[in-house]
Amino acid sequence: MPIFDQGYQHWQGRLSGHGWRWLAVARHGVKAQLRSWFVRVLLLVAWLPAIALVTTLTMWGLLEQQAESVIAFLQRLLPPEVIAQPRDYRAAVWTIAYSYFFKAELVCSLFLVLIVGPNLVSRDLRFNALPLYFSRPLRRVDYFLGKLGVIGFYLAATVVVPAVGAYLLGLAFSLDLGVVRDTHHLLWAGVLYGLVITVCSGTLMLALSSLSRRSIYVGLAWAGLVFLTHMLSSALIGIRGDTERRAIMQDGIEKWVRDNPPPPSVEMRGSYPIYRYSPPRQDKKDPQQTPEEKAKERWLRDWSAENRELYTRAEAARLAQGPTDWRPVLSYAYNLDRLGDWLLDTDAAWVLLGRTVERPRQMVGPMARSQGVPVPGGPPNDRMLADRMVWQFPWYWSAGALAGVWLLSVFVLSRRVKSLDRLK
Amino acid sequence: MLFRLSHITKTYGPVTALRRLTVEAAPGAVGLLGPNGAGKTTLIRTLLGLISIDSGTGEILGLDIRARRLDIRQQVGFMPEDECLFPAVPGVGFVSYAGELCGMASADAMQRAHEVLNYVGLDEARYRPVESYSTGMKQRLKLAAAIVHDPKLLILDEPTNGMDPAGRQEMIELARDLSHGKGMSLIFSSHLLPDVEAVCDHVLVLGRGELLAQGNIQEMKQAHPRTFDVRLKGNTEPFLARLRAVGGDAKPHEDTLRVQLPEGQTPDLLWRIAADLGEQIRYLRPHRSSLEDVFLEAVGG
Amino acid sequence: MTPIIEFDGVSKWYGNVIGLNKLTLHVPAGVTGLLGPNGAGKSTLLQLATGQLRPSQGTVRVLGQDVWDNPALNRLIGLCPEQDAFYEWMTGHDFVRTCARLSGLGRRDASEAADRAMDRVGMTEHMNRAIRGYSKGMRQRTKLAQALVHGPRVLFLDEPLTGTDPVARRDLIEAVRGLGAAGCSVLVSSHVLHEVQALTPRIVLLHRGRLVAEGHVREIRDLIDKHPHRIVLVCDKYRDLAARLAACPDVNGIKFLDRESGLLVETRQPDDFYARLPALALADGVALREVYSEDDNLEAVFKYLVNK
Repeated sequence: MPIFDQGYQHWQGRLSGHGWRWLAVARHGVKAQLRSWFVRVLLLVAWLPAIALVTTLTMWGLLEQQAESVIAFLQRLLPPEVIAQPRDYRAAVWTIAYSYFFKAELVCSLFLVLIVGPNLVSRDLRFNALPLYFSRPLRRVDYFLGKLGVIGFYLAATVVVPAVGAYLLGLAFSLDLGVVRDTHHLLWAGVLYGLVITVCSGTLMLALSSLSRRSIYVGLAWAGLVFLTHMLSSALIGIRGDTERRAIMQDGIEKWVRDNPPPPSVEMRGSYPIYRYSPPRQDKKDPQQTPEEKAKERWLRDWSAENRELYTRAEAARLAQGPTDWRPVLSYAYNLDRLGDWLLDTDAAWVLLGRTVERPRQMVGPMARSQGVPVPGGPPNDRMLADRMVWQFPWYWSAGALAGVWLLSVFVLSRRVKSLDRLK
Repeated sequence: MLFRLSHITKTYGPVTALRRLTVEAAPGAVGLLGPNGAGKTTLIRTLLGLISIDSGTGEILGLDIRARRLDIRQQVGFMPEDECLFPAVPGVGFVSYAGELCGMASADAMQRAHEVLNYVGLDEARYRPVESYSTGMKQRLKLAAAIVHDPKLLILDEPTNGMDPAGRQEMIELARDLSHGKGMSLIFSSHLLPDVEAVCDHVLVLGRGELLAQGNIQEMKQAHPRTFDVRLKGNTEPFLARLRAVGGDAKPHEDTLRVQLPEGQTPDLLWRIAADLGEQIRYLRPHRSSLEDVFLEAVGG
Repeated sequence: MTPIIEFDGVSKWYGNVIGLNKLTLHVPAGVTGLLGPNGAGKSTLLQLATGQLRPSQGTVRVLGQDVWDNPALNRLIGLCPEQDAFYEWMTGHDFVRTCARLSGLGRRDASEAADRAMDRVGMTEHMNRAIRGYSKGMRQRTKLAQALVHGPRVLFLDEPLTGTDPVARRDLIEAVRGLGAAGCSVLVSSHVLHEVQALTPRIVLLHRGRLVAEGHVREIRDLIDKHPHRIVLVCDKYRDLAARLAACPDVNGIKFLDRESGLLVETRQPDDFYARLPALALADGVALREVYSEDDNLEAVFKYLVNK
């Protein structure tokens, strides 16, 4: 027929299965957010920690190949065993590099969720888009998964993809496929960590987003939740550590001063001597000091030694508290961090490095003490670095806290986003 | 069979929305009427497969309402009454997103969105963000989003709400074209009875959760054998006097007279009276109840 | 008749956008419909008439007084706006009583007036429930009640019947007609033409901020020259009737409607045509059964005047 019907045409076409509906929601959300230039800049900025990671892994790869320039540079930083036998330390160093990378990326991703997240549900509530969604063959689960997918996409783009990319580059620079055997767990751990961050912080952000129609309040709530809990936790940790240390050191030094009273030439403020500057003697070669000067010098040396001893004891006490310290669990960021360390097994890496650092001391210690050189006492402590660098409280506390928050978020979401048969 | 519901009951806490509702409808354009609180919204949600009913059985387009709820929504399009928008998209993006949510591939959805927007009459405006649309344009957009996946059943909830007369006329024509020309079944729920009459052939009247009346509109509007609606130009008093003198009667109703002719008389009687009085009869038609009368009688108001 | 509402050369613009353009209008007492497509200036007109906006040019007077900056006049004016803005926690009765108090009624008078107003709009059984639980129709009726409660002499209703079901609509139309008959002047703005037609035959039609037509629908229709009246005649011997009509000079066109056994006649002088009709109807064998005009109504007037 020469004239074609311009009216309504029927449509026959392929429809995707129900399992893929959430992808449509996710795609739409990602495109909507990408329109903002700020998000695009943030995506680029989030690659900076990845660049640092790649640099580290590259240098390590070059070290393994015993490249001269790198050795010269690293000799000042690392113990000699590490320089001599890099392969033994490969897993440990990679793990530590990745753990720092993930700490930096955690900050970036929490910030990213703050920028990308608030709009997701609150705008739909403000413009009343829910009847349009749920009058279509879309379940609430698909809707939530789709929205979570938006956050997942951005977090994947900034956390998982750089981690994998850095891994491949580090692999390339090592020129040794044996690296894969030693470090492949880092790859899975990285992906898993990204997933954990997405699910936990994503669901929390969606729940907050469903509570208000104005995204600015959602953003403030998120920032408040993350930053305030972090500050609270840090404050509590600091307060407790400070109080304990002061208790041990103050009481200890006071007791010592009572037991060993200072010679009269030493001025004291409470339990602390006052050091006064005295000009150097004209006659340096004269070793003869007056008996009181000798006494003074000896006493001061003993006092310092006692002080140092007390400090070590206080430190040890603080570290001993580590495994039972609940204060970090209050902070959302610390919880995620703890799970990351567990997934990567950072603790083992630091223990290996600690052993490397401590063994020389074991050999050198007796010689140094005989010379009167002050050397930290005590048995060689393999965990010396690990205890300080890695959270020691059990990982399942964090997992439990995050799971609790997740359940609460899911509950809030299911109450706020009602399917159409309950609307109005 | 468009849908068949049998003894459907749905309660929301203390309120019974649908009370053992049994109704059957054939394909075509069906009007859905009822006072506020009659259960129309609940019925619509049942037809959309959104509600888990307390008791009863039913099928919509051959799909069971308990087992195949998602599939029902695949075949049904819905145009909601209240203000609804997907935020921050242009018109085309709105309609193609609606299509993608039904499972269409994004290329198909975009092509179909343009086609459907041509049909509803949104031309250049489709590239502007939807927040800038006027009420009439938003209603058309919602209609486009409802038909983008080519449903077999289209449910329109107050589609002419807030539109000016020109827009209302176009919406009615679109609905009529879809249901009579293009083979799409239609459920038209509205309080504006002339609109329902213009689009639908069949009507369902709900009240208090039950079906009060059902049938073909033309058949329900009974003709009364000797009653005529008459409008005169001038004063009605002399005319009434003459009419009553010969045994007829008339009642004023809004701006017309409802005239009852005496036995055995034809309208010629009225023309004779008019000729005698020099009066003009400007309107003369046999009285048929309007849809409003049918409705009010069914509801028992 | 002294006009109740007077607009004299009123213009109103918002920045560059014009709302009303040199509008001169005198609305007499009784019920009048205010019509126009979207953007015609109806809301601007209502806001100017109730003193919410100040005209950029010209004067607006209601009941002989200037409206702007005249709070005392609000005692005599009632407005039922289009938007929904209630204090959701109040009951309907509380809300209407508060509005009555705000209009100057004493405490007891306000309560009684609220009872009466709610009764008039048919909300007596729901008036002690919180507005939060009201349906759309109930909210609309509450809005109408608060406009009536202080017994105003002029009522402005903006889309008063949206959301009401046909039962409530019939009652409200009765109520408004009753008010008009009782001496209150009502200006009703609506898009739903058959509702306006049920309320009143007098209209004011706006388009693009200007006055297009004003007066009785039928008079306006008669004046629309461009579109001849189309009148349908149904009878048995319609072809004979057509032959007779063809001889008449004021008939411009005749079309045969075989399915209805009738004729569609076009004429530019409807008055003369109708005057001739009784004689024609009684001529032998014609038996004129039905006479009606498709476009002697508000829809047609609106379409012809606005949708060029």
